[in-house]
Amino acid sequence: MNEFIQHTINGLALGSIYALVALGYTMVFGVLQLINFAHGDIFMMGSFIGLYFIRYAVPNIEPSLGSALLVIVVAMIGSAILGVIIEKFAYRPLRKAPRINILITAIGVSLFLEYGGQLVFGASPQFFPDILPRKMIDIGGDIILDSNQITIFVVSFVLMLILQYLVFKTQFGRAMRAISHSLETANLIGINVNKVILITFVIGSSLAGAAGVLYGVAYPKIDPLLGLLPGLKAFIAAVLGGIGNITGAVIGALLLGLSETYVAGYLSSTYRDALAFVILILVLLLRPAGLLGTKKIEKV
Amino acid sequence: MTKKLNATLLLMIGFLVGAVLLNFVLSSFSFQPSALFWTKPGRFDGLISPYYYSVLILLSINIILSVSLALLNGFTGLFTMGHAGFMAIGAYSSAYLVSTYLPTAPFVIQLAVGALAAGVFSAAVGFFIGISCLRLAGDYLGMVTLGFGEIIRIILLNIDAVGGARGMTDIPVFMNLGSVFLLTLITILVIKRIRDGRLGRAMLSIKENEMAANMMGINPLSIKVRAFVISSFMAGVAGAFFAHSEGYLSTQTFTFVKSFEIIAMNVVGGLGSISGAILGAGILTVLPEALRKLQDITGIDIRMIIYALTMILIMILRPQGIMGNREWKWLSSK
Repeated sequence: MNEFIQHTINGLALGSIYALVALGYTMVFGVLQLINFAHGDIFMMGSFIGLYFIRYAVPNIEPSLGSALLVIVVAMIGSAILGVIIEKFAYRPLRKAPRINILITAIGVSLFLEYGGQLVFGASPQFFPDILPRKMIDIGGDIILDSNQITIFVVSFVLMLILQYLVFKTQFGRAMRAISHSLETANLIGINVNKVILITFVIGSSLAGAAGVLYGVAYPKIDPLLGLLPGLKAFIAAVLGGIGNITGAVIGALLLGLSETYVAGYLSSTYRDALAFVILILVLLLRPAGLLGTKKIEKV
Repeated sequence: MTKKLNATLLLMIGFLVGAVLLNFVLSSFSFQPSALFWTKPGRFDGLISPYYYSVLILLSINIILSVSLALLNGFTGLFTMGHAGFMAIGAYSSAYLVSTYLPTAPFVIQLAVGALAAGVFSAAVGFFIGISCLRLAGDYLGMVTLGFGEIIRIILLNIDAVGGARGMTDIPVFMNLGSVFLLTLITILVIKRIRDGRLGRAMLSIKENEMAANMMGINPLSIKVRAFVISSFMAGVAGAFFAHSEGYLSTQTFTFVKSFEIIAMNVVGGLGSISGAILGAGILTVLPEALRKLQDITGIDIRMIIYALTMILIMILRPQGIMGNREWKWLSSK
């Protein structure tokens, strides 16, 4: 039982990182119907922006909650700028093109960031410095709560609350939801579609940037190909929850994080990566709209 | 129908006769092109450098993959992202069969058995995947096939008999340029024949409008499964060629990145065009190799960056791909 609780804690920490990345996938899919394959690499870039900011701007940073927040904010701003550049120069010219073209462009951007990252940062893994005072809290019965995990929970939770506010309580959020229903109609009723899409990219990318730093804190070995697998899994989490659905993405990500940790803990870690794909297939075959999605009916 | 069959047969016979004649003429000079067909790569010194040799073989394999994906993606409109999985099944099954049961057989038998087994295994999996994905369309189909491709890879990674994470070594290397070229040409012609025949027209109609095709008496499900089976068969054969020209297999080759690469070949060349698939495979195979020189000069590895930028630029500047819907004359349907 204690082991189970321990796995649950670890799984939830992993899941909240997935959730931050999955939100970006699901929001971009909501407005553009685009699987933004470069999103995992923006997550990677967030990690590296954090690392290089610490290394060159604040080399003698003291591990504290304040400094962690500073690094997270810097990484969020950097990733947001990157997201804007990608949207403006790679995706916007293709707004009217067939969807497969945008998908290929997204793959191109993803490759560009990965290999560009290898060129700039070097291909070998680098260590993410400690920016949080780390404490292992024994909460009885061999269950250990890492203070980093608490930070990950809290930061992710706060960011998700902010997002929830933005999407459901503001004018921008209403415009974004309108676009996800129908881009053309939203355009007709006077919504500045390009602006809203741009802001969507800003929000999604900054969440990925924050996730990048949190990932660096939790698993301190980072390299330019780091975004590949977590990116894909976050995407699967978004599909699991119902792609385009924000609450669904969070639930899907937490479920995926939990099930991955359980499989790694109780079965074998070699099948951990396969699990995500099995979930993907089962969800799409049995309930293509995801857990919280609604089914669209094709009309003739 | 028969007229077209005859034309294709004539073309193939003409190719063979031409090859023999060319061989005869050239053999009066110093080298024998028939060596292209009968020798193993090792004994090839002098004709082409081993580097160009391996690039040409890779090019042919990529053409097979790209053309076979065009059947699914371009003609039937089934957007799949797991082609590397089919290739992996073919590569591993042929490599395992040949190195376990036929290590010393003559190369023609090794090739025939290996490639056939690769194709059949891969087609069987393609059949299964095709059946289970029938209800899905669009991006969802892409995601499921992506998942299947990765699962195939992870399962192969966990089978000890094929080397597991270490990779599979000591695979008999017997592919030579001539046979790969010939089989690539045959693949292209088969795809062209399918496209111009009854099946191909049914596929195109499903791509244009599935419901309308259904009204016209076409069974979309059966056509889609057939497209999956044919395409995965060919991808499996390409995988077998790959295994027996490299001599080493690692599951890292067959990640979803490889599937994306094959899709990119299709889209860059022009979706829905065989010529485009060939051209796209040519560009995306040769470009990284050609840029290797640049790496020697500048000392930094910027070729993959240029490769990625080329992909993005082609998509932005020419969204329909280089060929668009057009075909080269020898591949056009009239």
